[in-house]
This record gives sequence, structure tokens and C-alpha cells, in this order.
Amino acid sequence: MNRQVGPAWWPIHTRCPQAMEGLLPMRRALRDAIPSMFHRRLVLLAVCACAVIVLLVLSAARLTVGPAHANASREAASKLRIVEIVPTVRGRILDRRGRVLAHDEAGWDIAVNYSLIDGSWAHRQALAAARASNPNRPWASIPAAERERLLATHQLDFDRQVDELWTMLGDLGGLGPQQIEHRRTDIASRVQDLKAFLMTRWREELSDELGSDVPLSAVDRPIAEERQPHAVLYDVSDFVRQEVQRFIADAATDRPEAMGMRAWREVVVHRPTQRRYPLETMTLLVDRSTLPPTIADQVEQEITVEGVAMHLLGQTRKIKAEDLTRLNRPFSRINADGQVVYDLGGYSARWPDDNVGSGALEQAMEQQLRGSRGRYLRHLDNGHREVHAEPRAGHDIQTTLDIQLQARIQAIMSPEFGLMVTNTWHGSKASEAGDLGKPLAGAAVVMDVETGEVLAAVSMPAMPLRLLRDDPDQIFRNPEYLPWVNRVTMTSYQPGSTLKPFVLLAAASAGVHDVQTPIRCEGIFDRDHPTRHRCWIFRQYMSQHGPVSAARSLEVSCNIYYYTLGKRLGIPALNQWYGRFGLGAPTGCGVEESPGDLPDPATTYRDESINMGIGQGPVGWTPLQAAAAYAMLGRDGDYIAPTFIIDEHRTSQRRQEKLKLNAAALREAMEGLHGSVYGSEGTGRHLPLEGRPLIFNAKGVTVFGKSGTAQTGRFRWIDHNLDGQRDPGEVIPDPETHAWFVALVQPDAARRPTHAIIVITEYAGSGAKVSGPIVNQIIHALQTEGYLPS
Amino acid sequence: MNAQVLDQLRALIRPNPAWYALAAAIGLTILGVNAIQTVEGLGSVPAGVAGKQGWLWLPAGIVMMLVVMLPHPRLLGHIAYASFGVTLVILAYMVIPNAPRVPTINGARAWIDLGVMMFQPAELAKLTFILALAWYLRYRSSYRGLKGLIVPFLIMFVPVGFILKQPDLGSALVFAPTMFIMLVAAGAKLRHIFLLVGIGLVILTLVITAVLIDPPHERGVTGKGKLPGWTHILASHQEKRIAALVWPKRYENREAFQQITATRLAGAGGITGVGRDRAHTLIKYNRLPEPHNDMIFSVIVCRWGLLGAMVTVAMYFVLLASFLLTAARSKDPFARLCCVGFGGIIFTQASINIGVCVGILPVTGITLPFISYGGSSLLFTFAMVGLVINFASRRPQKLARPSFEFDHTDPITP
Repeated sequence: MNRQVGPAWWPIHTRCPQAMEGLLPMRRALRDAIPSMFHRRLVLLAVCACAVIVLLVLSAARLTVGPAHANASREAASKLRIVEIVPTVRGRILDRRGRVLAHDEAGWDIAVNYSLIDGSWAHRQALAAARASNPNRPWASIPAAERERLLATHQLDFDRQVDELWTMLGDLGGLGPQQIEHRRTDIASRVQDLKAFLMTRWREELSDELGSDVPLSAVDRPIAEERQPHAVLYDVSDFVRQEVQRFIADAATDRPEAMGMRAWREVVVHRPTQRRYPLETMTLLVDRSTLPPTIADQVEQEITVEGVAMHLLGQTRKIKAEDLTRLNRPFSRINADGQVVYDLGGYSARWPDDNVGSGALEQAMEQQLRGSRGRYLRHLDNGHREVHAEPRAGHDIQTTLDIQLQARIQAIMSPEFGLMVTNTWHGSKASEAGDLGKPLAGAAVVMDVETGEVLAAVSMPAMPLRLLRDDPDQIFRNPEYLPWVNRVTMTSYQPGSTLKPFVLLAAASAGVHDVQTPIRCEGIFDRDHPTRHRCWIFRQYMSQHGPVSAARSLEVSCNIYYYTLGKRLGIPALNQWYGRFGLGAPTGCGVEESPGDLPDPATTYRDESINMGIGQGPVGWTPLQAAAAYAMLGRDGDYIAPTFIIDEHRTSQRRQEKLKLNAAALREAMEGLHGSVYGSEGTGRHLPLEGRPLIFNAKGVTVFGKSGTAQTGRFRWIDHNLDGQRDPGEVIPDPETHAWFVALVQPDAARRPTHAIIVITEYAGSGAKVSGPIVNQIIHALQTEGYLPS
Repeated sequence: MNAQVLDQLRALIRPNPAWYALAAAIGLTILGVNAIQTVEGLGSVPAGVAGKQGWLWLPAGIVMMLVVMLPHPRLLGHIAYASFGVTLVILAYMVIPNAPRVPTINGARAWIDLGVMMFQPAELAKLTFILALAWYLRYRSSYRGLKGLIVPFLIMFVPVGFILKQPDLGSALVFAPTMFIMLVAAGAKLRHIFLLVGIGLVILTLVITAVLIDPPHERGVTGKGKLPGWTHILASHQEKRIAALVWPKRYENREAFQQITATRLAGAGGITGVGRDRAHTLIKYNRLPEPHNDMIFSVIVCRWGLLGAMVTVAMYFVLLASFLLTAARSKDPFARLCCVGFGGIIFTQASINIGVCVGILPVTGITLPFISYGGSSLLFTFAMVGLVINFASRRPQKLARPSFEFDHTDPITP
């Protein structure tokens, strides 16, 4: 019989006493053994306590016995040692004559915590002082108005302290009150800009994560920059440093007189290793006597150039935590098998004060320049120091640049010299409209023909360190001039007529054209399409060149001749030959570069080959590629890849190839280039000024030149507001042409050209008229610097 | 000095089981002084605290013990409610915002500045709570029913509420287990105890499950997680401490730092310990927080190893056993329950503290009785020992009615 008592959730022995019958003998025995219920309960408690004790002892044993103990011992002991990192010295960058272009220099910076910069320090201190002045009254219980008053009285004192500190810093740094205030507000606005940017990004991330919009306040947290000190005085003298350190030491004491200078506790003296570019700014005397007559002068002009070679040197920046997680470029290199491998070289975001190269040679040569840090293991308990690795300095690298020549060419290309601005003789729309003096952008390359080494490579406008530090927007938010772009290697321009000698060489060497056979120019290439493929002489003068020989075709830059050759070669052959001349692939010069443009034959309209014959259409090269190609011409067809770095190890890796060009075509090409400068019909002979002055007036050298006037498309878009949209007013229809002039310069005593010079001026007009005079000045500069005889 | 006191003094000299407790208490205190010495001068531990503990608080505790040995238990019983009332008044005073002489230390207003010492009323509350509860339960049988448990719960909840308000979770945590232990001893029905403890455990499990399903680190800035907000009834730092037990790596340098460091140092001690100097060095550079207080058990294990831990735990067991033995021998129901309560509270507190240090419980901020540095704690734990010796020294009354015997109402027959 099962007697059920009570609802189902009752304990079984209550509900159904029979179910517990099995336990009854045990309970009875217990009662018999310990008749007192109280004592039985005490035993129960004692048993529970024993269970707890067993559990605790087992838990302790789990930690202290076996591998857990070994682990814990090792970990605990590891806290007795700290790794000390000894900074290394980054290698120097030298020019070809051993002048130092970049080196590490330890200097002292004075930095203040951000709380002094945004003013929060004085407020916090005042609040603490106001609270402390009323220890017996709860702050919350004081009426708001009185709290304000208390706060204000205290704040006055702290504001005064902060003002005194800034004044003192200004005095020590030789800065006026406005200058130091400007530095302060500058840092504040930079940090706030960064914070606004980060908060927007965080909000987007968080909104994505949560699937709904979150308010900006949800991501309002202090960023690292708000907790860090920021340098306000750079590179101070030892005296200033000692003064500041004295103030800091005084403020750190608890003496009553130190109370008035508590703000100095927020000041720190940094010893960052600074990367210095000692020849970044140079002042030169430049001869004006050989300039076009309208701007010539017998008096030398003193020109100060800034940012010399900065496009090529690059810079350094502090290592970021992201560099390690994202495996950014500075840490990647290509190993022998062509695989990209990542090598942190002992760097770690835990020591974020390390510098890494950022851009150009500093970045490309990171592996050589970096060196390796020393690692010491310091034992905290006994003070011993184990040396794991001594610091090793980075290797120097030597560039092919001659910094003096570089600076001189930059001076020649600076707007104040008067050549790289719209001029009366340019023949551009702007010059005809009288809109003179507007600075032009462009690039110049000077290459040693024998070795393929780049002596100078200037990209204008320059990138002065002064602007990078004080007003980076002028560099990075300048959509019209794009000053941060290294035009020498990173911009691919349509070659225009400068490509014509190579088309001739390709056609002759490929056997599709006999250089002795003239081609007739009637102004129009195809009578069926009289508006397409016309010669420039037809466009400008409704005229024609008549029968044109190979050499004359270059002298007069006849388009019809090269349309014909382009058509005969076709795109695949053109591509192949252009590729041999170095187009369409990076040159391996040592800095970041554009490969240039070659068309894909499969997707390109067949007749584009006609346009490609005159260097228009889907073909482009960088000024450096152009220089390498012309240097190849100067070497009678030996191609050597250009370089910015002098390194025997690298020389063997550079591409070197004898191109086996048609010898007759080579002779004709050089003759044509000679005629282009010296021939009666030469496009590079005269400037359209009164007296028809010669473009090239240097003594002692022969110039083989070629002009190029490259069309720049139907419109030019300048994204003034940097929003990526084509807004009204940003699109300029029918823009000016790019002006090329290339020259091979041969000293009278030499058997073949020694230097190749390339100049391109963007959106400037006719090649010979705009860039020719600049090339002429560069030849004079080479003479001044001793590279060419005068 | 009257005859009664002399009698009592004579009675105290007679051997009794509470002497073992005294030996254990002094042993634990000396162990504590040595452990504190190991960490003197490190981090937040001021120099000289070990000396203060050994030469000031230990003698003061013994004096306190001697004082409470003298009065008759009945007298103590009569003032039990009054002393509990005074305690509640003090605790109530402490929760008044900005009450004078109640400084905020480490975010809690748990101390009263008496000038000569920082007095921690929660320690007094532990003592008077047990006295009051024992006095309440002594002749009753009402707690054999569920309704009869209401009053004991009230007696517990009032001080716990005040102490939680300070906030001092660690101290508050020991009251409920102590009450249950006393109820078990007093003969409350086990099924009621199991039911209530079970309900508590279910709630605890639900709360912890909510934390584990939806841990604080996955809730982001807005606090929006998988579960609705009301499921998270713990404070954020408490949730993180629970989550830290499960994801120690994630909370390594924050909420879990204290516990990870404590278990690491305990583990480093091995079986026999690393000795004083090495322990000092290890603790210094591992930056163990509160090494003289909440985390002192780790110091013991680090210095004396698993053997040290076992000796410590054994001494607590001796203490507890001695208290229970005294309870068993006593016929006075008030004394019986007091002994059980004192033993229970000391043992519970020690177990929780050790559980934290060996990494099986989340960090609660609880001290190790007799061992952790602290004047109030030592004074009142020695007072407990004194009271137990007092009870043990009394001859049982010949005609005393056996207390807490309910077998007749609960016969073993179907």
C-alpha cells in the first residue's frame, strides 16, 4: 500500500514515508549510537567542516604539487627579471660624396602632460583643494553656488601656476607668449581632431557590432594622447634641460614652498632620438645670366631651398601597435624565394618609442638602416644584469644623389627663380591670357649614363620638414599640387613625343621599317578620317612635312612618321619593345614607384597602336623610366636599371641587358635628337622671343634633345575639398599639355653622352618652350658642380 | 573580589577542551605575525605592522579574552540583546552619509576612528549577532517550523544590510552561513535548512549563469548584451570577479590580477615553501595586493608551502573541534549555541578566505581570522575564544534540562 501524503514537490520521505524505509535502520543505529540529537548535529557540522578542509587542502595541493608548482615558480620568478631594451642607432643616409643626409641625434625635448594643455589639471587640482578645505562638510551638501565660489577661488591659484609655467617654458625656449600659446593650442586641436576621428570610427564599429546606432557619448573615452606628455620645446640646450629638471625636482618635494609650483610635476624631460636631415635646407647662389633674355640677370640670385631630397629620403615615425598586428610594410621584406616574410627585428609595441622608416628610402631600406636593439635582463632581487644582446647600430646607406646638385636643381625649379612658373614664351593658354607667374609642378631627373645612377631627382613642389611639422595640411591637403607625391618615381605620364626615338628603334630592330626609307607626311594619317591622327604641323599651321627621313622625323617630331611605325608594329610588338626599354615594370630603383602603363593587348583596340606610336594613348612612364630609357640610348642600347643606392651587392641584382638594336636606327635617332636641338627645323632650338634666343646655350657640351608635349585627356579634375566627388568647379575642361624635355649631354671631349636629363612640367604647355630652358639650366648646374666641362 | 569571581578563577585553571582552542588561536596569531613580517614594507603594508600585531593587538586580545572569561554566561546572555542593539546603532550611524569619524578607506566606510585605533564595528557585530541569536534560540522550538525561521533571519539581515551598505561584502558574507550552522545545531529541521540553502544556491546559480552567459567583457560600452539588463543584479566589479575565475587571461591585469598573483605565489611555495627571504622577494616583485590582509594565506603557502597550509588549516580545525567539544560538554543551551556560532563564523571566514587564495572562490575581500593584520578582528576573535573558555570552565548544572533534543517529536517510525 502506498500512502501518498502532500503535494508532489514534497521530499519523498514526507510524501511517502515507506520510500525511506531502507534508510530507517541507519537512522536508528545513529540514534542508538549518539542518543543526543544536539550531539548528532555537532557531528554533522564537524563532518561538513572536514569535507571543507579536505577540499581546501586538495585545492592548495593542486597549486603546490607537480607541474602547477613548476609553472607557478617559473612565472613568479619571471617577475624578478625585467628586460631592458637598449636603443640602437639607425644607420645614416649619405649622398654620393659622403655628405650626411640623414642621421640619428639624441636631443632633449621638454614635454608637458596633456592635462596642462587642455586645462583640466587646474580644474582637478582646484576641486581637490576646495574639497580638502572643507573636510567637515560633505562636498555634496554645500550649495551649488558656494561650491562654484570655492572652486573659483582655488582655481585662480592653479590657473596662475599654469600661466607661470607656460611663461617660464616660453622664456626657456626663447618663445614669446603667443608662440608658446600657439604650440599649446596646436597640440590641443591636433589631439581633439584625432579623438574626434577615433570616436567616429569607434562609434561606427560599435554600431555595427550592436546593430543599432549608439550615441557618440557611448564611445567617449580618453585616448592615449590625452594621457601622454606632449613635447612643447624641441631639442633644447643642456642649460635649459637642467633648469627644467631643477624645477621638476623642486616641485616633487613636499616642502611648503613647492606647493606654488605643483604644475611642474606635470612636466617631463624626454630624450628621444631625433632623426635629423641636416642638408634639408640649403642656400645657394644661382647664376641667372644664361636664362631666357626676358628674365636674365648678370647678378647671381641667392635662393634658399627647403625639403631637399625629402621625397627620396622619406622620414621616420614612431612605431605603432598596429604595425605589429597588421604586419605593415616596414616589417616585410622579400626573401630569396620571392616570398614576403615579416621580420619584426626585435621591435615590439611595448616599446613604442622606436622609430621606423616611413616612406621612400627610410622605409625601403628599413632592414639595413634599422640595426638591432640591445636586450639586457636585469635581476631585480640582486641587481645583476645579463647581457642577452648588445645593441648593434644600423648600416649606413649611400645614395647616388649629389645633394649639392639636387639642391641646385631644386633652386632652378623653385618658383622664385622664375622658370617653373607660367612665362610669356610658354605658348600656353595661361601665358597667352597674361596669367603669368603661377607656380608649376613637375619633376627633373639627372642620370649618370655610364652607371645608371641618379645624381639628382627633384619633384616640385618640395616637401619641407618645416611644413610637415608645423602645417602638414599645406602638404597633404593640397589637391592641386599634391606636394607629397614623389613625381620622379610615382607618377606615370604619357610620354608624348619623347617616346618617338624608341619607336624608331623598335620598328627598325623589329624589321618592320627600313630607316633609309622616308615616310611621306601629308599632315593627315588617314584620308578617310581626316580629323583623326593629324600631325601637329597640320593642326597648328594646316601644313605638312612632306617626305620625312628617320633623323628628320625626330628633328621636326613628325607625327605621321610615327603613326605609321606604330601601326606597322601593332600593340603586341610595341608592348614587347617598350617593355625592353623599361616601361610597364618597376625599375627597382630602391624607392616606391609606379610601374608605368602598358596596354593589355587583349582588351585594347587595335588601332591604339597608332596613338602609341607617338607616345599617347594607353602608355605611360615615370620620369625615372624615361631617364633610364634615354641613358640606354646614350649607351648605344645597353639597358641598365636606374638606382638611387650605391651598393655593390645591389648592382648585380639590377637589370642589365644589351638590347641588340639596329645600329643604323641608333645613328639616325641620335642624329635626329641632335637636329632637334641644333637643326634649323628643330623643335628644341629657339624660344619664341624677340631675337629667337637659343634654348641651349651651354658651352663645351653637345645636347641631344627631344621635346614632348603630352596631351592630358579631356579634362583635369582637382578635388579641392578632398571629398572624392567631382563637384562643380573642380573639373577643368581641355587642360594644358604636360611639357617634357629630355636631353643627353655629351661633353665635347667625350665619345658618347655622359648625362641624361629629364624634365617634365605638368599642365604647362609646349615641351621645348617650358621644359627646355629648365634642362638648359640643369646643364649649367652640372657644369657648376663639376660634372660637365664648361 | 567576591567569591564568585574567585570560584571562576579556580574553575578556569581546571583543564578543559577550550584550552586547545586557546593554543590554536595563539598559534595562528603567531603564524600570522610571522607571515606579516614576511611582507612588511611591501606596497601598501606599512613597516612595523607585524610588531604591532604581535606586541600590541595580541596582548590586547588576550586581555580582552581574560576579561570575558569572568562573567557568568547567564549575565552575558542577559546583555546579549542590549549589546546587539548597541551594535546595530553603531552600524546605523556608519551608514549616515558623511558621519564624523567615519573615513572612507579603499572606497568603504567600514571603520570608526577612535583616536587610539581604527575600530571595525563589523567585527563587533559578528560577536553580538551570535550572542543575540543564541540567546533567542536557546529555549525555543519554534524554528522547527518554517515560520519560526523568520526571526532568526531578521536578526541576521539587519546587521548584514548595514554592513553591505558600507560596503563590506566580505564581512557580510559570513553571517548567513553562521546562522544556518547555529540553526542546524539548534535542531532546526534539516529539510528546511536544505530548502532555504537550496533556494539560495539556485538564486546564486542563476545569477552566476547570467554572468557567464553574458559576461561583462562581451557587453561593450553600452552594456547591452544577450540578456536583458535586470538579469545582472551584481555590481559590475563583482560580475567581473566571477568572470575572472572563468576567463583569467582576459582579466589578467585587472580584476583577476589579485587572484592570479595569489595562486601563482601559493603555487610557487611548493610543498615545503621557499623561506622567508625568497618569499619576500617573490611577493615584492609579483606585487601581491593586500599581502598582510586578504591575501595572507598565499604568503603562508609561499613561505611555508603546502605543509604550512596544512598546519594552518589543521589549527583552524583544532579550534573548531575544541569549540564543538565545549558545546557538546556544556548543558547550557546559550553556551552551546554560542560555541557553535563562534566556531562556525571563524571557520566559515577562514574557509572563504582560503578558498579565494587557492582560486576556487571569487575575490570577496575577507580577512583570515587571527592571521590577517587587524586590531578589531583580533580583539573580537580572542573575545570569542575567551567566552568559549568561560563556558567550558562552568560545571554543568546537574538538573539541567537537555536542550535542543527533538527526537521525541520526530520518531523514526513509518
